[in-house]
Amino acid sequence: MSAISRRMHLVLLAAWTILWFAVVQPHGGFSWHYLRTGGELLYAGSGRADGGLNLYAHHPELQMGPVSFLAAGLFNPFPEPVGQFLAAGVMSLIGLIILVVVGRSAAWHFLGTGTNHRRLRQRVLIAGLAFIPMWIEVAVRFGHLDDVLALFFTALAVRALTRGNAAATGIFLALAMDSKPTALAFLPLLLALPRRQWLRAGLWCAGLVALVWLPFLLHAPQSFAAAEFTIPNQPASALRWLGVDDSRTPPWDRPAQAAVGLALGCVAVRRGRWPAVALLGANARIALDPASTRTTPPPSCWAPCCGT
Amino acid sequence: MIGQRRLVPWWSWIGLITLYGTVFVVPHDATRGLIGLAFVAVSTAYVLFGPVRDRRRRRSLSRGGRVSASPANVAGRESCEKY
Repeated sequence: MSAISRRMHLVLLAAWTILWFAVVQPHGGFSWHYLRTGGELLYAGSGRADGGLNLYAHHPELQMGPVSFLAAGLFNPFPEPVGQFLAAGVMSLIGLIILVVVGRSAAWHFLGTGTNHRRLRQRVLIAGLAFIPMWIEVAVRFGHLDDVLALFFTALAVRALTRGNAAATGIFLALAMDSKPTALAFLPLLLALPRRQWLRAGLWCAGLVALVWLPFLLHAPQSFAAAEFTIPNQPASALRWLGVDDSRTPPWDRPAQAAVGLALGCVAVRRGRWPAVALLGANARIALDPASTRTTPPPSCWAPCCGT
Repeated sequence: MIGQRRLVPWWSWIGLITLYGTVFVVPHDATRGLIGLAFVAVSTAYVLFGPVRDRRRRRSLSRGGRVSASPANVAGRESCEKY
């Protein structure tokens, strides 16, 4: 089989991505201003009273991780429309890369089982056709760089996991949490490594999370208040159906999302079903989220990370 | 969906219809919330407790299905780069 035909599914997925990008981009970037502002403040450092390590203490509404703001700041030298366009393009490309990483992870995971690679590529194509429109919705229409990076690093962590690389698994999971704190729910993936590698992976992960977050918390202890930031409890939220009629996020909600996600992930690993960890973390988020599924990245967006 | 016997498993179709379809055909906010919650509950139960076909039993696994650091089949690694 020629190299071209082996890559045909990627050509089709790239064309599909470009099509959706062209349709959505003119009306996109709904939340990009949060990233742009955060990037400006972070790179401003001590030059601004609310910049640098004071970011979260003064702007609890900026609910993205430092890595997301560091990445977003790379687009700030450009005029705002240009920077937003470039960021949307890069985020769209990351979606394609995730599909490639997921395909390779699946192939590696099933190594030695007689997997039909042609059929696996067909599945990547079909999954990608469903995944790309929702990815473009999150990445381009909303401009949620934090979700994009968290999923990208989680996909890389899964890739490292399937290859048995403990340090890389820990590092990528840490980067996911450094991009978006809710990626904490994916932490049980570490437990899918052989027990002898837990310590190594855990130390890398904990070290990198501490390296990124501790400076903010130590320099400006008020940064903890960012965890108490609330958003409206929308009528279409699953939380309403669980009997929570508060007008805004209840104080127990975010810790509960993390706890339930972690618990479900641990159960999945315990039962030998670690590929379900990402989906279960996303499910815990959606079930207990005050936002509707329209503004929360849906399971279809997170599913490729557990596609193996 | 990757790794299942069928090219597109039935639960992938259900997920697609539930998550995409309802956005376009269900105008009522609360109903969409209920559908989302139902999908979350069912998919959680399924991935945790549904039947699975262990296609990796020929590989050397540590306990609980954890990932082995030493893949059994070296010859097929080249195929893993075709994605």
